Amino acid sequence: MQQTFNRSKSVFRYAFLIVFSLMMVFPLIWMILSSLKTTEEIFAVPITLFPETLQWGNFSGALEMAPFWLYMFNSAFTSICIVILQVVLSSMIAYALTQLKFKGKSLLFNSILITYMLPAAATYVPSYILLSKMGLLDSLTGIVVSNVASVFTIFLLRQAFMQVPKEMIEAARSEGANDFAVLTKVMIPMCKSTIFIAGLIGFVSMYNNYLWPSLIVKSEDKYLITVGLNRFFTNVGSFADTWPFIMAANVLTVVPLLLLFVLLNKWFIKGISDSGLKG
Amino acid sequence: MDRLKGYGKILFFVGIPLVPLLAFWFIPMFVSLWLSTTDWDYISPEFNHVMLENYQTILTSGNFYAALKNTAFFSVMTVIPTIIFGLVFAALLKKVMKGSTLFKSLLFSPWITPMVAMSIVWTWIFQPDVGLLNQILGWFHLPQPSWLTDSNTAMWAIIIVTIWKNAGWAMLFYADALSKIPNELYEVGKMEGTSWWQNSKYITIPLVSPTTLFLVIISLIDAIQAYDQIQVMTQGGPAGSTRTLLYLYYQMAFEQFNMGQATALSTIIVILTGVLAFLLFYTSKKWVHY
Amino acid sequence: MKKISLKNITKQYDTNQEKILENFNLDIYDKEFIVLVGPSGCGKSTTLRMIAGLESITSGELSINEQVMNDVPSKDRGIAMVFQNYALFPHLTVFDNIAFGLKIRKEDKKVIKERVEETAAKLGLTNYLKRKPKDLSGGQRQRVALGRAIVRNTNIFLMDEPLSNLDAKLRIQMREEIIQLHNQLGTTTVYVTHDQTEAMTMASRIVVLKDGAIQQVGTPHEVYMHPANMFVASFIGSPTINFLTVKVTSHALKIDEQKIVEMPLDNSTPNEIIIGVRPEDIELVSEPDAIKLTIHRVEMMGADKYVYGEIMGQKLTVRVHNELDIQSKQHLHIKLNPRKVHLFEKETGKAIETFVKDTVVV
Repeated sequence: MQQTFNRSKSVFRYAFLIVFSLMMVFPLIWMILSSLKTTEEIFAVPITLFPETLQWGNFSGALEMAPFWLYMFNSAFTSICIVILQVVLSSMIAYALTQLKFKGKSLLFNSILITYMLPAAATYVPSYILLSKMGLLDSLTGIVVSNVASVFTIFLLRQAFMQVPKEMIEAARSEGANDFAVLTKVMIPMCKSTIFIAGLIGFVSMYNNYLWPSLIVKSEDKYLITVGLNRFFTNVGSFADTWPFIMAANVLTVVPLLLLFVLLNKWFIKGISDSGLKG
Repeated sequence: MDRLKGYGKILFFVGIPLVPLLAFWFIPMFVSLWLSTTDWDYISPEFNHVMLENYQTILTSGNFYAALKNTAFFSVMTVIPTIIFGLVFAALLKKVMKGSTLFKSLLFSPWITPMVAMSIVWTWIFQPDVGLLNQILGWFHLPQPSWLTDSNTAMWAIIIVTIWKNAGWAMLFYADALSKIPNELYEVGKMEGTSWWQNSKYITIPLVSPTTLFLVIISLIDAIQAYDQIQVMTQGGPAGSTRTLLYLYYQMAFEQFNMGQATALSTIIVILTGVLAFLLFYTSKKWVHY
Repeated sequence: MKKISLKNITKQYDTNQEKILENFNLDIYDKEFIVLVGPSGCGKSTTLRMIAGLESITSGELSINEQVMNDVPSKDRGIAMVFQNYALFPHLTVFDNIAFGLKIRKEDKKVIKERVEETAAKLGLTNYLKRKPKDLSGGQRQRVALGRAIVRNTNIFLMDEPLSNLDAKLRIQMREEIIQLHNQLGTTTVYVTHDQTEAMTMASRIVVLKDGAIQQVGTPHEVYMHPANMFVASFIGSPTINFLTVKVTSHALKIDEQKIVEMPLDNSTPNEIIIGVRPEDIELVSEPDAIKLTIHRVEMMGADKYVYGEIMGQKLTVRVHNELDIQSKQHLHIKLNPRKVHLFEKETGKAIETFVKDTVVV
């Protein structure tokens, strides 16, 4: 009796999960389906779920209207540069915060803590002025340079570095390793997975970043994918017959991330739930 | 010599990473504060110190209060459902044996997508006549609002998108927190005959409260900074109904180039966030159990 | 009166998985202190959890107070349980932890206060009622867990390794307290442990389990004096009993033609058997024709010394008094008392009954 009760409970559970999962994934499915429809199918009332014939031409159409490959390259390129620099710089400062003694250490840590809590928007105007003074407005370098400091990555790495057993560090030191060697030969190898996760989350948030890059880049050949996509949407969105192209452009934008997610979903899921900087 | 080496070491490990941190985080915070007391318009090289005039202008303008109200509404209406859905998803997943990773991935997948791209998709779904949502509502003979073009519903549309994107993210944290609750506590409950509701009220919710606090604070900061979905879907309209403080700030700074007022507004946003975070921490002693 | 009765209980998680418990039969009487003991994975906890209603029963019949309980929810079985890791709510005070069940049952606030305070007084927790579990010592936490059971006013207690998280000293003290409580409250207790010392010191009857089957049920005295098989003999008693493979001749047991112990056995006894001799039952003698034990190692345990050695290629441990000087010696001469030798079949490990009846008279 108890068992049948449990079984019906678990049927409910699955039913709810399936409904919720469908709701969450449906916009993605709808986007993909729409990108393969004709204009008539897209505007059909009542709606048609599946396209009659798959309109692969929408993709080449979209690519003719705007250089999405270039946008994607710009995004991927800047994101990778940013992530590498973020990880290098953050691991240095996280090393200092966990292993070195210096004046103002707690001031530095508290400043970083406060920065993590406060809206980034507060820095936009001065940062914008700084970039313009450096002559880096409307350049990919400007995007990279202004994003290399990541408070989130510093936190994550600091947390991971604190978990490295003291004995390992002391053993390395007793064999004559200096700080640089301890960082590169002990800390970084020991925290490989956290560093990978920090890089992964950093990459996704940079690829998806919109507001700040949209302020910096003005010329089309430097657009990041988010900027280029939104400009494309604003320029052609008012014409009904361009919706299939817009959807195709959306798919082009989202699919690389979805592939990344499918490939590495365990890393994402584990990494994000471990990154809760509680306490 | 050793001391010199010590300084060199600090200079290397702290000094180098500190440069971008200072240049793009710490110093701008203060520069912003200073700019907020000027009437600079970004173009002209001259500007005057106007002291607190900018703050006065903002705090007496109707636009500010409308945006403040929108921000408060948006924050409450996204943070609470995001957290509730996150907890519900995690609770549903907890006892699922087969396919839990698949469900987790599906529920989480919106978080991975760019807000800009998905806002465009949602704009399409929210289309009043041909959009998917209204057609579905039509099947059930429910009212079919104009969503993004109606100032009464536009904010709701933005809220829906935001919850959709973040609920799976909150779920991951709750899933982790739930897995750390010892099963024996539920067995104690079972011995006493607790109902589903009593289990939630007396065991689950108090024991995940540190996660709840964390999620409330992070989601709140996130909500105050929401921009992409508003920019793509409504540009703050119609009739300013989706203009939040941050969007107002963006318009002041980068559409009107009214740097003085914009930075004053950003200072207000910072103070507001700080006060809210402080209040949450402060009151958390009463409802967060470590 | 039968308090708890398990009839042909079987537990299996999945039809194609191994059975955790098979045809388990046990009657527990009023005011007994029953200890289920065995190595991990023997099914002792599962048995307890089935009585509690935390695990379903695959087949068989469970009765409590002579009523079938298979499908009765835990809360209506009239039992209280103490969990292994205390299972205290970290966010509740001692008072609220003890009051938890009463609150769930929506008792009157005044009644709750009275009952909790009364229980706390019994356990010496009165001064700690406002503390959270994290501010308590291990022993105090254990008392709170007991308090939660006591406050239920039931007369059946189930305890799942309640002392396993305590340090050795505290464990002995809590052992005492639990027995006192049991006597004072007049409850029937089913207690699970893997620690044979706990079983021996606390139980009115011990149930020895292995691989989901009962090996023996009896008082501590019975399982120690008359182990039903080699497993029980080796599980109960410390240091562990010695086993020697011996040949049976008409009047004596022999290893390699050397007489180990004189013992008249009837003809039905197999030619080769295993005898069990507890280290504390071996006598030291000075006669040179006695059995010669070659010493390998000596452990000083305080009051005693354990001498590890061998006789004729078979390992043997002897417990001797600590004042005996054996450091300088390489050999000891020993003698086995036929009344304290346990006989087992070599094939099955079962105790050989005939012998037990004839020679060991208690």
